[in-house]
Amino acid sequence: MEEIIRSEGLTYRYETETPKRPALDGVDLRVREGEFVAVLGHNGSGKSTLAKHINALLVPSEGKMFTNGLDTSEEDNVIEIRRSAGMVFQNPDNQIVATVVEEDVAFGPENLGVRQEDIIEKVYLALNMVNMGDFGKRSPHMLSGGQKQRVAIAGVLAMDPKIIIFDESTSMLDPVGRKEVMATINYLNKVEKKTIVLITHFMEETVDADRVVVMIKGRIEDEGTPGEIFRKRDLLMRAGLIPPFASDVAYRLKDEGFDIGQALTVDELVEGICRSLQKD
Amino acid sequence: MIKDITLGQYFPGESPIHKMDARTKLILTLVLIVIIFFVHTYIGYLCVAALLVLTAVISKVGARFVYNGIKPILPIALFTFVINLFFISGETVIFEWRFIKITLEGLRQSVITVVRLVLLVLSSTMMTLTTSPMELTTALERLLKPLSKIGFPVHEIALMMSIALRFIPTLLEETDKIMKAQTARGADFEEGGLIKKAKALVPLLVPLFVSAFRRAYDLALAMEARCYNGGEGRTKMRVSHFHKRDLFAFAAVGLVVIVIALGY
Amino acid sequence: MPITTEGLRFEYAPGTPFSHVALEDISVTIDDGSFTSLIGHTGSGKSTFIQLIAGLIKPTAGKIYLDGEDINQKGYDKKKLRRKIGVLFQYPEYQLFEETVEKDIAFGPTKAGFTEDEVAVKVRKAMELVGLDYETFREKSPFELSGGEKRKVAIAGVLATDPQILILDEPIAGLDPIGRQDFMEMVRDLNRGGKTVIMISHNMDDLAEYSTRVIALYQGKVYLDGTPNEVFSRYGHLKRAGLDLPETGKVIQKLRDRGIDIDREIITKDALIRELKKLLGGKDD
Repeated sequence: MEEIIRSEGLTYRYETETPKRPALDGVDLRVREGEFVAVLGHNGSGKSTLAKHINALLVPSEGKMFTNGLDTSEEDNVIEIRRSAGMVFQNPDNQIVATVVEEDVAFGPENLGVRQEDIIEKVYLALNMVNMGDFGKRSPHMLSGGQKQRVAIAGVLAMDPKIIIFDESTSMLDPVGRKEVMATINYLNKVEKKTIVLITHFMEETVDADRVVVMIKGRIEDEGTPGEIFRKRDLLMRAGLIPPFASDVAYRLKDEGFDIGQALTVDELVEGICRSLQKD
Repeated sequence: MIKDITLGQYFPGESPIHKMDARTKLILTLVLIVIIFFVHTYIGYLCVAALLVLTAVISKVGARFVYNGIKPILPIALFTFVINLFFISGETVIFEWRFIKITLEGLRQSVITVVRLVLLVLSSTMMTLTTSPMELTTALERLLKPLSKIGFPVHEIALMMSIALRFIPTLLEETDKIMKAQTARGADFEEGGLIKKAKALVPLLVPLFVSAFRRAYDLALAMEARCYNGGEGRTKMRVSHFHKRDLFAFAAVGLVVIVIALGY
Repeated sequence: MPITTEGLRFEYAPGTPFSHVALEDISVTIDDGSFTSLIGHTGSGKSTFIQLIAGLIKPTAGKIYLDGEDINQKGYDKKKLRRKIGVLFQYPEYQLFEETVEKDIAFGPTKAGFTEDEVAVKVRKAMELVGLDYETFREKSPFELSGGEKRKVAIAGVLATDPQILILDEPIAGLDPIGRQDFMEMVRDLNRGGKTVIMISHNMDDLAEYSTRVIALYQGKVYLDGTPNEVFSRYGHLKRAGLDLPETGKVIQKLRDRGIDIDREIITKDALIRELKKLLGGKDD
């Protein structure tokens, strides 16, 4: 499959600060079309800075970034890049522009100069994808956090992007909202075939990803399937990450001499325990 | 809760009044306001009142919400009524007790002032009840469009207005939160004289400004990410056009103007 | 210094079309030194409850007693209340406003009426508690710090009055996993040191681990009230109130569904691992 995101030696220094080290330090990220990649890292690991390079909100100080085959440092490519790589941010309140849901979702297509007749269709198609079709006429400030975040996702979907970047989009939500957004992300990847880049510091959100990229201090420290990454406990420790409950229980049992196999989720843990019990 | 304040008091609906072009509503509201300012005849007020009542009935907004719209000015109306009643002097005294003197002219003038005040607010209330803030800013943008030719930033101002509208409830909620947090730390927003009170606001205002700037920065980034690039080449999802109903509305207001003109 | 509420009721915007009863008939006593957790989904009334007992809003009906004194009676000294109760809200870093870290942390104790010397000592102690080096940070502007450091300053600002009762409303929201762990450990230490803790959180695992008592609110009323073991083992009840189980509970429930006999009152991770070892080991014999 084609590589839809490719960075080569991507290095970035924030101008306002005087850090001893750059925020990103020679990052080579590759994402294939249709892939679900989770970027895991502690606060300050550079994961959000990396995300902002994908849709040209930031451009490399050194190195290159190609999104959908386009060089993000070329001024003329910017609009096309942002159309094809949409971004959902952290704070649901600070990314909604309009006072009515449908008008907010229409903001992207309007900016792109989509014909008026087509906008409504795109808006409701997008709202239906995130299960918010009945909320078109509502006022965003009366919605729950999870609903607001789904409206934000619809706002991105209305531009027909190939890639959707989630920049810690669940970190301000309650458990219900978090579940709603995670379910939406999985649906967009599995059914709508969108390429997903999920930025997070919660390992439990990465279990459904095809690949997990771990960042430490502006570099990609390691990458692999969730199973491969979750197994590397000293890597996680160094990266300041805490393994999900199920995987931690499975490992601690293993330490005590009870190998029930690897478990990323509660279901896998229960499955493993039952399997071991039946074996005897 | 503070966030329950209905914003711009828009009451969603599908009535002909709702569907009317927001530009029509904006222009006609202005016309009505001008009429109310310049007309001094009973028949004039009656016509305007009849028109507004008719609008309210067609819009199906419901008396309660219409009343809520004018409720805030009732105390002011009452105050001006009383002031006018006692201080406008006239010939025909209808009540006198010690230094209090009420005249027929005073009474008449007081009633008229209140009626005008109520009609003024009622006309703008009918507009905001049936038009979303977004539609209104769009209408304003389109009406002022010619000004952009002479370099007036019409699009930017309209966008600023709609963003301000969007963030009012958010910032109200935030104010409430910060106030409670600082109160819990011992801040007192109620006690003391003017200077003390102003000083007490620092722990509220600084965080509020910091937060507003952070939100502005976030929003700008989010807008950029959604391909915002200024007003150039933008389209609009909802563009209202003039329909027959707009003609009716113009005709109705026109009729009122004619009746009043004849009444002079 | 127990807090007692009697028939507490709170209604938002009473007498308007937007009126809404947030809390009804809450009568509870929160004992000294306890670690009481409040759970309930968004809109269950838990935030309203803590704002009431912190004296930030007034009840529509009912009474709140702190140390046997009605905090809403005429002439009650609110300063006393503020000294005894510290409240840490969600995203407390948004309440910072002073020019320097030291001044910001000093705001609470100064308002509480401590002398300048006392305040200085308290500020230093609070900074130590949250892990901020006094000399490094005291002169810095709170606005130039990192997110995590800002949060610490805000927490220190609340701890600086040395309140006997600490009320925490979703304090870990927005923290990364390590930050969460550090914070919860600090709260546990404060509780062990004798402070009463009242905490709202969505993180059932933390609550199961640290609380001595759990009160679940549902539609403005007390729905479940007991030790964490009692409350978190009532899977059906929790589900009906739209509440998550702790991860331990999820594992145990699923094992029980598979016909494996395992005690429902196990709610912490360590206890679960011990029990699983017994279960797996037992089979070996």
